[in-house]
Amino acid sequence: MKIKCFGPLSDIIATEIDIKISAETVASLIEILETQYPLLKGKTFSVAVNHKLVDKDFAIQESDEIALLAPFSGG
Amino acid sequence: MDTTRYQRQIQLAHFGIEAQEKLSNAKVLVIGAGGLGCPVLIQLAIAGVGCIGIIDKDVIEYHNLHRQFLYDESDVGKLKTEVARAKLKQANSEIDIHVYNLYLHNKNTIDILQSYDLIIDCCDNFETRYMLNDACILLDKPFIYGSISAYQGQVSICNVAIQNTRSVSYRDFFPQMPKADEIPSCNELGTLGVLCSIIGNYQAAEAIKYITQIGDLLTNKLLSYDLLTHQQTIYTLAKKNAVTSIPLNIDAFESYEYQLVSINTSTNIEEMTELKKLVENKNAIIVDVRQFHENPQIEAKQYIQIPLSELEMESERLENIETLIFVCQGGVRSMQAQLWASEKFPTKKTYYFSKGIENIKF
Repeated sequence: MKIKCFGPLSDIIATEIDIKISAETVASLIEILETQYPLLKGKTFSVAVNHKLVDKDFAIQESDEIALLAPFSGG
Repeated sequence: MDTTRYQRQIQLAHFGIEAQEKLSNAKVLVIGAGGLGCPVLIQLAIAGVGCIGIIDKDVIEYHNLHRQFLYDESDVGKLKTEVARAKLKQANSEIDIHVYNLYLHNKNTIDILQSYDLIIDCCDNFETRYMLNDACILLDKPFIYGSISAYQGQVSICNVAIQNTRSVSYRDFFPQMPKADEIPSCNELGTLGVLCSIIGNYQAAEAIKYITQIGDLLTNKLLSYDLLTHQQTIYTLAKKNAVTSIPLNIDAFESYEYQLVSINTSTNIEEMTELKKLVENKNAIIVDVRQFHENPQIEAKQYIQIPLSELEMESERLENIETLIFVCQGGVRSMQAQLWASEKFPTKKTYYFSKGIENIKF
């Protein structure tokens, strides 16, 4: 599964990773990522699946492209 | 209106004199006259937006000049709003410019926003952004969001009237305000003037398109741009209904708490004397969690460098050390590292230096 990370999340995970994860929903994916990257816990971000921002209960598949989008503050 | 000035945009297909008149009649408020504000303001002024409001309370500092191109060396120490007004007037004397030399808060926002048709967010903090978003929902005003983080930027236009409803708001993308210091600012990460100009120009383009009703807007969409790769992605979002944290009327707005929740202060070291005292202990170490390429390098005896993203992998290197003092460029990553370490090694003493690497002097 391809996961892109934006803003400060790329410091915690990487700009992009391609890993084998068996998760059925966005929520379970986040749980697995938080185990592998404990600094992700408690962070504010939204999740997009195939370029659509979705809720935590959204079902995902191995072929999906995931994006973890953090809010930015700089102006 | 002198149409000669605008001839090259008037002659564009789908633009014409009608679009120019719409620009001339528009009232746009820009919050923040910094990195994003400068490109937004100049583009709106020269395109002929008839009335521009500018809110900012800061004075021009020397370290603003590499990106905030409305200001020059002789302007350092002057108010941004006043200098911006003078420069915009030089660029286009036919437009009205109103300046507000103040910080926005929930008691003055509604009054100021009411006079404008379109609000452009060029601010540099979440408190103002969430407050503006909520005020725009209450007042039925469209709101153009733009922000940057290191080499990346985001843009969207929120709360646009579509038939009998409104498009998504900023809270639909990011429902809850991040915690204090969770998201690094430009002071922490640095920024390039060209990225500010790119993102600011995207915001100005959305404003011109919205006012003149040309093209497709970024309604219900979040545009993400990466300067290093020029990769640009548009993420779409359907309107959510479950946002409950927005104040429902102006009275509730004016008593709403827009302050960020602080994460942790007891482990924060602010003074160099405290840091020196901690490293007198032979079993204490300074852990620099910046990337290896970041400057300045620091020289200290009890010092190692492990980038934030590698801490978990490299955690064995910290196992036999009693006291860990995390440092980084500005204090945000070191705080995240301290939070991680306090969970990972609950018996160790863990601290972070909140003032950043440039204040570390042995």
